[in-house]
Amino acid sequence: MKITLLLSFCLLAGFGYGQKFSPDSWSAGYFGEMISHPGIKVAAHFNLKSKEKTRKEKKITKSIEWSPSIYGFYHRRYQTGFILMPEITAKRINQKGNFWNLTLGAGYLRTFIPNTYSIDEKGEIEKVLAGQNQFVMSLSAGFGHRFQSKGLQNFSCHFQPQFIYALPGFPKGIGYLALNLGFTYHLKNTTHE
Amino acid sequence: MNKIKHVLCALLLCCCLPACEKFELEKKADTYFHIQSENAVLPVWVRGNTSSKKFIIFVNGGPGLTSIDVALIDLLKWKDGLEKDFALVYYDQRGCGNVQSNLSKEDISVGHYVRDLDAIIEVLKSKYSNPEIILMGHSFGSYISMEYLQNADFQDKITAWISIDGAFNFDQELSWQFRRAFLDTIANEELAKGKEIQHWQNALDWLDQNPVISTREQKKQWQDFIGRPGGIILPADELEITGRELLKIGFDSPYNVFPAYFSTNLEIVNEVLNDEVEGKNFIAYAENIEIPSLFIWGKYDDLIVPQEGKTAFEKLASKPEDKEFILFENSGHEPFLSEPIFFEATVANFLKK
Repeated sequence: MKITLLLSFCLLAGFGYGQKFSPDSWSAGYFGEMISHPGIKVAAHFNLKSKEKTRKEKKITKSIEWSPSIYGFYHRRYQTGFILMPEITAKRINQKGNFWNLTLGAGYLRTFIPNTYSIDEKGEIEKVLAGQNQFVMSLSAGFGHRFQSKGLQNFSCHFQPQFIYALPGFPKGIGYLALNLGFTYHLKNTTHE
Repeated sequence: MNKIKHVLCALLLCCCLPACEKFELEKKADTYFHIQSENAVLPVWVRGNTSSKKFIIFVNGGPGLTSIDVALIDLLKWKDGLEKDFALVYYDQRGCGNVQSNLSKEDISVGHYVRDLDAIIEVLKSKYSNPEIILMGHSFGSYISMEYLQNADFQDKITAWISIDGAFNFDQELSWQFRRAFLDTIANEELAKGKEIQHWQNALDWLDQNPVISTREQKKQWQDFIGRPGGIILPADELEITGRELLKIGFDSPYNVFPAYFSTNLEIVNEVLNDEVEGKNFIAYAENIEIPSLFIWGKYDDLIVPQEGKTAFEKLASKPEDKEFILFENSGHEPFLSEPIFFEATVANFLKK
């Protein structure tokens, strides 16, 4: 619980910092809960810190990003879910534009369970809106490529498997495995070329 | 940019729209819905011939096992069997599989399971124009259905009861008396067949010297005489699950595999429910059951031996012509796996009467 609170604090602190600036990049892409259940993820990325190093004449940039994100997914016959989650990403990009990153997040998940029926006190059967409000934590690691050819310099693509843990549940929480595939549009050149 | 916004909005709207499920009387129904029962939302899957207006609710055992995934990969092979003639109703029980809820241990009890079952029955009766409801419980699921039938109003909603190797007695002392009788019967039968004469003669001699089985050593010795499934005499109930079927459950189904397989919820449900019934004998509950009943028992079920089932069967208040006890000669605790064709024929014959 302490870790959760600390993580939430850090993410919210990032929110405060990020509010001062316009985003450095936007990303959008496919969010596949259990890979095959379709959804989308949209995020704004704020560069918090960036550090450039040169090793053997090769330039490497390490950066930390804060990204408020919105997800939505549809798992047929199970649930529809919406996630609001600020994320912190540590990113390492090389001269060729290849990068890998590690992302931590904490936020809110709202689920809707389809075709749910309930029996009221009079014994009448009614269709109800069922679902849960949950706190979610997320860990993901992935890789991608920042395009360098003319006309595409502002774009990068990424592949990022993600594990999400939603609380509360029975007995403690519920896990979700997901895959992010998407593109990022860079408004500012915050990494390097 | 506006176009992108419109596409994103349309996608979000599509995600929000719930897939509509139809409740129709047809030959090949496939209807998936949820029941909110108190603080749990249970998935229910109706499949097969709903036009028969005979709905078999499968109450799985464990306690703490699941049904929806079993139906999904058709592990019991009922899709091309029982489901042609009847509608099969599969559901995950509270605390298990893909039940969506924020439960505590206090929300897990046999009473809750009975109320959940009643909620499912009420919705089925309402949505399918009052069909006949048949309860088919396996092992601990048989006990849940028996508990359900204790309420006279609930019993009135049920057309027939099928108990497969049902667990009605949780008094270990009594169970071991039945198991002792089971070993005696098996040993005499095998001796009459002339098989493993020395082994079974030793078993009978051991039984003479041990009128009561209570210690750990005695229980181990008993198991050594009976043997393990696939060994001396007990048939091995083998499940055949292919990698493709596992992938289907994980990636192409309504199932979220994490709460179903990567959680301790099943162990907790098992522990809580077993603690609740530990030491109790519910065999006498059969006296309150008056509806037509079919008892299916594996002859070599060493967990809940046929002698135990027969004792409950004899107490049933159903009319003699409305009750049957069928012993499956080549089965253990899961006759629907060991003798699937005979199992389906037995159930179909009973329900067509």
